[in-house]
Amino acid sequence: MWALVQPWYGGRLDEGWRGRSAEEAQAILDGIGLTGEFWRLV
Amino acid sequence: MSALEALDWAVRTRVYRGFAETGRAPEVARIAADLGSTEHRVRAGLTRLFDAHEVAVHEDGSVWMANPFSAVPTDYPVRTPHMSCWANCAWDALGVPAILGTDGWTRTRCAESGAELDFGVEGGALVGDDAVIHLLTPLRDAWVDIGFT
Repeated sequence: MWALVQPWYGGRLDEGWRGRSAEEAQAILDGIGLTGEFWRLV
Repeated sequence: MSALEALDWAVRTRVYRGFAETGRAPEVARIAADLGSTEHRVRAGLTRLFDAHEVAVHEDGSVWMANPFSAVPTDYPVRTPHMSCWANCAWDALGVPAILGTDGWTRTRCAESGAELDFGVEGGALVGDDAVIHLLTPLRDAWVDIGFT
């Protein structure tokens, strides 16, 4: 879970945060091996 | 994401900064004063931020959640070196030290067994009791009912 949480919340305090697309979020999930249907965003 | 206006993003930044610095959500009036805006415009911005899944708001227009932070008490209190706050769930209890880049500790109870659990992050690594986080809502549906999620 820690491996997910770090990239998931990284950068969200930045003043320049402008949201994250579904594709970008999916890349985080895929990158740590969360590839099942439960984790599909796109 | 681009549907949000500059003021909306400024409101979001102010909400997150308030949580990060104090552990509590800033009031709408405070946000408006800090940004040189009006409560009406801030509330409208918060509504748009809710629609964009950036901030959750109560029916009265006040801030409810800016994930991982919660404006209301939850079963997941988080202590950090400089403040204490509430997280929305077990995932977010780890999200607080992640977003802050600090240590953070949570004492709660297992939702299934009721056993006490202490866990957190120290020096960038997980510490404390082993546990399983049971997520009920598929991620794509997280904002259908963010309170349940």
